[in-house]
Order: sequence, then C-alpha cells, then structure tokens
Amino acid sequence: MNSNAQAFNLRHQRLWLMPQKAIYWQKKKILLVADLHIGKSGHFRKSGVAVPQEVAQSNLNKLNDIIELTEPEHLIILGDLFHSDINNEWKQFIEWRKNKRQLEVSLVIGNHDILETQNYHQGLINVFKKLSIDPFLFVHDINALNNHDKNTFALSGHIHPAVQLKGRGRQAMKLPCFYFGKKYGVLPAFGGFIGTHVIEPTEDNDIFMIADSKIISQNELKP
Amino acid sequence: MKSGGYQKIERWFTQRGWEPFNYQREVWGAFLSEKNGLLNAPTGSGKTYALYMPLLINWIDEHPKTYTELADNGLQLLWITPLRALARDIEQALQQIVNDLEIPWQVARRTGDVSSYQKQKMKEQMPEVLITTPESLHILMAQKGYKTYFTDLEAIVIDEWHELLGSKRGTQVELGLSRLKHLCPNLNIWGISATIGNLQEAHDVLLGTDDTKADSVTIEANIEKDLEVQSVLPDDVEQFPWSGHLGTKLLPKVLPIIEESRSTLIFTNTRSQSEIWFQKLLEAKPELAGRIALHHGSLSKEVRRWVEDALHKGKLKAVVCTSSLDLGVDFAPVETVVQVGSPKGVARFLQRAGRSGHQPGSTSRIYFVPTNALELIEAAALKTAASQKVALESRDPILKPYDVLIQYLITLAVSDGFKPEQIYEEVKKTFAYQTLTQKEWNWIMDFITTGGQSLTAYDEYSKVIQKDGLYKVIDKKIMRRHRMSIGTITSDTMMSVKYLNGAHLGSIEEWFIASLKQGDKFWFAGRSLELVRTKQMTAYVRRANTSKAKVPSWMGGRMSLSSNMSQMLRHKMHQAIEGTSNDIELKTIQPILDVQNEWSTLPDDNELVIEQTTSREGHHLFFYPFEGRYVHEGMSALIAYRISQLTPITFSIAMNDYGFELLSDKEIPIEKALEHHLFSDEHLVEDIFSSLNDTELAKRRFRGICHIAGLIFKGFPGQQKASRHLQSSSGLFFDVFDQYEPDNLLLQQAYDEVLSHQLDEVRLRKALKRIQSQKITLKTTERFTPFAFPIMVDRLRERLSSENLIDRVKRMQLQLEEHV
Repeated sequence: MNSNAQAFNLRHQRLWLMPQKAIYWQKKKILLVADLHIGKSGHFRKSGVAVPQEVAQSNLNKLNDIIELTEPEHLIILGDLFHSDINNEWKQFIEWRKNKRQLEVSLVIGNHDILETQNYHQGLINVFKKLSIDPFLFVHDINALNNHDKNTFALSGHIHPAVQLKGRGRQAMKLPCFYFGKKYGVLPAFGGFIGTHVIEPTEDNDIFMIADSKIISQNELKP
Repeated sequence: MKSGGYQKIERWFTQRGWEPFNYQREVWGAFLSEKNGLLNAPTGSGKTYALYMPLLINWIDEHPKTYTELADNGLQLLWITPLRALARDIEQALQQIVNDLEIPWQVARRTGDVSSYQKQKMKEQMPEVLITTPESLHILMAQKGYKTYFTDLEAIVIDEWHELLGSKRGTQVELGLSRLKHLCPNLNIWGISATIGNLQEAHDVLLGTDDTKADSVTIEANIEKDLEVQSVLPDDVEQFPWSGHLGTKLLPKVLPIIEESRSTLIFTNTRSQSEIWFQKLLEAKPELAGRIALHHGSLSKEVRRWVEDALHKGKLKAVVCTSSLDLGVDFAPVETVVQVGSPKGVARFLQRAGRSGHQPGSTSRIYFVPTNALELIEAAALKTAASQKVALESRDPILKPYDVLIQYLITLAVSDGFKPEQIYEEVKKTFAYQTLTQKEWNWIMDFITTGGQSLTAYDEYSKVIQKDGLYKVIDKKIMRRHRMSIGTITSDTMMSVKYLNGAHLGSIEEWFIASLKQGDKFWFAGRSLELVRTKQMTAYVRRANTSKAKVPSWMGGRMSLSSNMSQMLRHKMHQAIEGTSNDIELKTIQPILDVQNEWSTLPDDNELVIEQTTSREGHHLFFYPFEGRYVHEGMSALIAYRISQLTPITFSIAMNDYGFELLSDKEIPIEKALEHHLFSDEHLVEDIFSSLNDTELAKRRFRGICHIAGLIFKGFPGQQKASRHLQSSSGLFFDVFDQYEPDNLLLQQAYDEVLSHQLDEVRLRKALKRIQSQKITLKTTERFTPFAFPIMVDRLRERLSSENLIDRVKRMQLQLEEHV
C-alpha cells in the first residue's frame, strides 16, 4: 500500500484512507470513492460558461491513477457519479470504463445521478439505492437511512466534508476530511471543481484531514 | 438675435420670477452650437435646466408651428443617472417643464424598478425622453432590433458622472456611448459632474478618444455655498472607546441637534449602523416615533419613496440614512447634516454637508460624530479641510476591464449580433479600451466563441456562434440568463422580506437569513421582526415586541481614507505633538495621546513607529504609516512576505486607516528584517505578486469579475432550482483557472485590479519612499497602546505563510462543535 495512506480499523476491518480522497478496503479489494461529479465542467461549458476543459480530463486521470495504484476488483461509487444531464464527458467516462472490463463498478445513486438506468447499464455499471456488504452499508446521503439500516455501519458521501482548524496567532484553515462517527462515516468529495462543507465534529468522532498529499489524524494535532 | 425657442424658455424662467444663471446660458450656447461637453455643477444648482432647455429650444425652433401637437417623435433624449431612486424625481421635473411649455412629450423611466408591462409598452412606442441607468441602457441594447429605439436620438446626458467615473458602471457608460455614437452620428453628448480632483480627465473619459472630443467644452457653475462644520465631542474622553465604529456613545449629544433643526439627515457608513442608530434614537427619545425614519439601499422602493416624500413635505424631524441619500434632488426642509464616523474623504464629507441649507441665504451645516477616540484627529482634519479648500479627491477611471467588455459583447450577440471588426473599432475609441491590443481582442473573441480553448473531441462549449458574418447567441437559455445578469454591481443573493399578508419591507442577504432559525428575532427596516418561515427566496416575518434582536451585519467593502485625508491626518498628528494647534478636537484627545506617548511614543510626521508586544495569542508587531486602509493592505502583505523570506513563519494580518498588525505564533525577527531593506521599493511588484499568491486578495477580487463576465449565474428570481447544476463559487473558478489556465485574462485582471485599485501601487510606492527617508522607531510595549488596540480587535484578517502546510496543521486544533 502506498506510504501516504493511513490505516483505520472499523468493525474489525482494516480500511486504508488515501490522500487521493478514496478508501481502499484491502480484504475485499474494494475501492470506495464519493461525489465524482463527472460532467460538471462539460455541463458548464455547454451552457456557455468557460470552465477549463482540463478539469474533466484531470478527474478521470485521478481515478485511473488510483485504480492502477490499488488494483481493486470492485469500484464502489457512493453517489453523484455524474453531475447533470448527459453530455460528452459521459461518453468519455464510459469509453474509459469499457477499457477496464475486469473491474466491477457499482453506483449507489445520489441526488445528482439523474440519468436513465439504462445509461448506467450500457456503461456496465451496477446501480443500487443502497448496497450492503457486511459489515458495511453503502449509501449516498446518510439522511436517507431508515431505522432498520441503523444497525449496520454506513459509509456515505454527499456532504463533501471539511473541518476548520484554528491555532495561536489567530491562524485558521480549512481542510477536506474523512469523518467517522459512531454509526456512519463520510468520505470527502473525489472530484475537482467541487466545493466543501465545513462540519463541526465532536470529540469522540474520528477525523482524518487531507493536507497536500498526506493524511493527518486529529491525534497528530497539538493537544 | 435670440431664436423663438430661446425666448420662450427665457419667458418660462421669468414667469417663475427666476433668471437663468450665467453658467446655464453658457451651456445652452455650447449645446446649441452642437458642442459636446462636461458641466461641473453641484446638486441643487439647476443643472437639469442647463441641459434640458437647449434641447427644447432646438425642438421649438425646428418645429415652430407644430411643437404643441401630439406626434410620434421617437426618442429624443436619453438621461443616464446612477441611482434608480433619482430617476423618478428627474422624471417629474422634466415632465413638468414640457407640460408648462405645452410640448406634448412623454417622459418615462426605464430602470430595474419599472414593471415589465411598462417596459413592454415602451418597446412599442419609445417616449421622447427616457431616464435610465447604465445597466438598463445595456439591457435595452440586449433587445432584438434595439437600433430602432435610437433612430431619432438627439442628445444623451450622463448625470452624476463623477459617481460613475471610478467604477465599472462608468466603463459601461463608455461602451454604451461608443455604440450610440455610431448609431447616431450627430449625437450631442454631455456629462454633469460634481467637483472632483480630475475634472479634465472626467471630460476626456466621457467623450472618448475619437473626434467627438474636438471642440468640446468643460463649463463650471462656480456656485459656492457657506459651510459650517462642527464636531460633537465627548465630555470625558477617558470614557470614550478606543475602537469601534458605531458611535452611539455620543447619541445623547445628537438629540439636541435634531431638536433644534427643522429636519436633519444622519449619515452612517453602513446599513447595519443605520438600523442601530434608528433603534437607539427611538429608545432614547420615544416621542420621536413617527417623526424619524430610516433610509437605506435594502429597503423596498415603497418604503424609500415614502421617506423621501415625507422629507420633502417637512414631515420628518430626522432621517437616518446611508449613501442612499448622497445624491438626488434636494430636500428643502433639511437644515442640518450629521455624519457618524469617518467619511474617509473630503469630497464625500462636503457633498453630504451640501445636502443641507437649501433655503435662500442659508448655510450648509454639518456635525461630525466620531465613533472612537482616534477619529477625533480625523475630525480636526475634516474641519481644516472644509475651511481651507484643500484639493478634492480624484476619481480614477477603470482601465481595460476585460469582464465588462465580455459582458458587452455578449449583450450585442444576444440582440442583433455584431461584426467584430466594427465593434473593435468602436471599442478602441473609448478611453477605457484605447490600449486594447489585437491580441487581447482575439483572446476575448476566443473566450466567447470557443470557451478560450481549442476544441477537443469531447468539448461542447457553446455560447456565441458565427452566422451570416454576425456573431450571435442563439441558445434561448443563454440569452435569458444573460439578460438577467447584465450589470457590474455584484452583490450576494438577496431574499425579500415580507409580512405574512404580503407587504414587502425590503431585502436581506440570503446568508443572514440562513443563519436564523424560525422564531429568531432580527432588526430590519427599523422594526424588530420575527422570522416565521422562509419560502423560496422570501422570508416571511411578523412584528416582534422585543428590542433584543440581531442586527444584520451587511458586509460591504470597507472604504479607505483618501490620500488627501491621510496627509492631513499626519499633519494633525504633527501639530498635536508640537502643540501648535488650537483645534478643540486635538485638545479633547490629548489625554489619550498622553497615554500613547507614555506607553510607547507618538509618531511624528518624520518617523515610522513600530510597536512590538506579546500576548496570549502570540507575537504582535504594529506599524503606523497613517496611509489609509488600502495602502496598508498592500504594505502589510509586502512586509509580511519579506519577513517570511528570512524564516518559515505564518502571519495573521489586520489593518485600519492608521496602521497594520502582523501577528504570529512564533517570534518575529524584526530587527534582522529591518537590516534587510524591509521598506525598499525595489522589486516591489514582484514581491507584491508573490505575497498575493499567499493571500486571498486576488481571489476575492475575482468574485466580481466572475459575475460580470458571466461565469457565475445567480438564478432566476423565484426559480433557483432550475439552474442548480450551474451553481459554483468564484473561489472554485479561481482555483481551476489558476491550475489549468494561468494566462486567462480574467485571472490577470484580478491581479491587476488588486495592484492598481485595491493596493494602489502608485500610492504604495510613494509611501515606501517616504518611509525610507524617515526615522524608524522600534518600541517594545507591555500592553496594547491606544493606537494598537483598534487594529488588534479587528477580526477581518489576511493570512500569509512561508511554512510547510503539514507543520502548520500540526500546531493547530480542530474546531469542534460548541456544547451549549
């Protein structure tokens, strides 16, 4: 495993938290990412807003790199794979995906995933509302969980979490993070050209921040 | 030999017992001999008559027999005004005159305030006189077949040109004029400006670099009014706060001023300050209820109009207002003006003073209310400035803003389409774009046609396309979005505030409403309100009977002291040290200056004082160049950057008009830095650019540029959801351009704007040169001095770091949920 990843044990499973904003579940060879928002730059450009085209290519390159690094058997996307209506970036994504036929790809539907189910199927992508692989439940938005689901540990996206740090001399900064509470965890947004939302964790949450290409646990901070 | 029209106009004056001023006749003469020009005249001096009458003289002379007959004459006069609120008063004045003269002309407004039904009617039949804002002029140009509106246009008048000149709205006017000059080759172009430091330049910018400038004139009205300036002083300066910008401490002393005057305007610097003053006035003197009112830009037009009418009729004892009442027709009953807090510049102070004393033979009277101890020095400076006729501030025109040009080109593409060669020629002749290169033009054309990049297989960029030799927008959605976003004033998304029965109070920034829960109370429009619910973009409220309510803190740009004012301030400091002044304000502040002198030293005008102190928060350095906020913004970033090159260190930076603070959790090697030419003006631009990369300044500047260039779209009113997938923040745009397209002109514009407008490179360089010739005094103080304290408590801060991110992170703490 790459040296910048950080091991985190959860429900007797070892998860590797990666500074590329992904989780690798080594035992099951599953790679988890959330909130890719592919097609966002294309959606903007098609509507006459000149976002640099490279944003799209860079997203796909990042995904490709981390798959080559971890060599998973199964990629699970925790929602918001595609930003909006279909556009050419979807075609580009599907071409890429079809060159990786040995990789199983599953999508837990998010609020942005408004394409027809057949689009996903044509792209060889399994689609779920929720996906359960013991001991975890994969879902996009933890607010969509019902009581029945609350016995398992949920892993989710949607929030694009970040935390605020403060220091002496009135220093402050905001970093994207992985969040783990008692019942569920939230992954940072994978895609570029996407904002973050600042959360205020409590002391018994586990927070892993992403600074440059490193993962920093809250335990490493000044006491 | 005076023409028939001229005589008729003179008779109109005589019938009213008036006599035209000399300057008015001078303007008539110039206008009638088809000269363009700039009229320098204050409000309330009859400037409207100066420019309206010659148009009517011409009309009567050209139609001696038929001018009283109803006809379809087409648009004759465009009158551009910066404020919607002014448009209505001008409309009434201009309509009255043609009615008196029995000319059956229609005078109308087209501003954001006017209903779409009215606008639709206008499309079918243009009025003879149209009063509009720079934005609405561009919106007209975004309509299909817009050229036909201007077929008969004789003249265009730009009112309050000094207000528009230093802003991108001024550039919009320049672009609008460049188009109109082409459509109407014989157009008469006139501007009206109050006195500013650069009148000649104002004239040149208005008329552009083509031959419309030849044979043009600048005419000065030379109308002087007596002025009386007084400061409101605290009885006990030791009890007077060292910091703060509210000024309510002196409110009891303002009550008698209101009492003694027929009607008083109380100017505050922010909307929240006006709300607070209104509330405190009522608390202090409940019998004022119903006789005082509140006026600021977020209140609904009905509320504002009611206040203006009541003011005209002399029904109000006082109105608490913001710059919303800076301009416009005069309110005759106003005898006194109160300015709360620093007006930041001499010109603004005098302009506000001029809003009082319009009865014949009366004097303008203004009281200055300092909001903290140090503003007493400003009070002394303002008084001297008003009596000695110091040079007034200049309004520097904006040069070559790419964002405004992009918006203009899309406007033309949305209406009838444009030919690039032709528009390039027109644009090049404006003052703003005279240095625009072919290369820059090509980049802009690429930006709007291909999204700034060569097309790749997957790209579907679409905005402006070429069709039959014309560049056009054909996508209906893009057209609609563009028409909705024309303008250069960028503000946050606003929510309207309504009572449950639907009565509209005004609008507040969405983020403020979002911070409230149902049942929370807040002050708005001078009342305490309870939030009942929010629905779409409306906050429904009911009256709350409590004075314990939040006051929205509207974020507004913090203005900086003008260079004239900072110079005066340094001079007053020097006088205070020498003891050579008799200013009552300086005598009042003396005990505080004594404290400053005892704990540290008083900065004389030939020295720069630096104070060094430590606290629980870390190590503080305070510098006092007295150069105004904007220069301090640049200088502090520069000094922080230069120190950070000596050692890895992180700074938090704060500033005000008197000085700035560098704060770090590590010891700051200031002695060592002072040996290394800390204040050198060599490598200034490189060092500033390097420091900008580490601060948020350019990123913040980019926000406005994104809006104007059409990258950010706020959504249609009432249907925010439809465009949800097109929402993004300017910060994200900045990051992706910075990463993938660093030579994007809009990004460069952000840096240029920071350098030339915000940090004011020219002033910064001058200030550094001055400091180099000064003595530098480094004092170690045990606590925060009276000069340091107001800077230290400021929470709005810049940051700059030369440390490794991970090292920094590890010294920080996670911000955890607050346990209630």
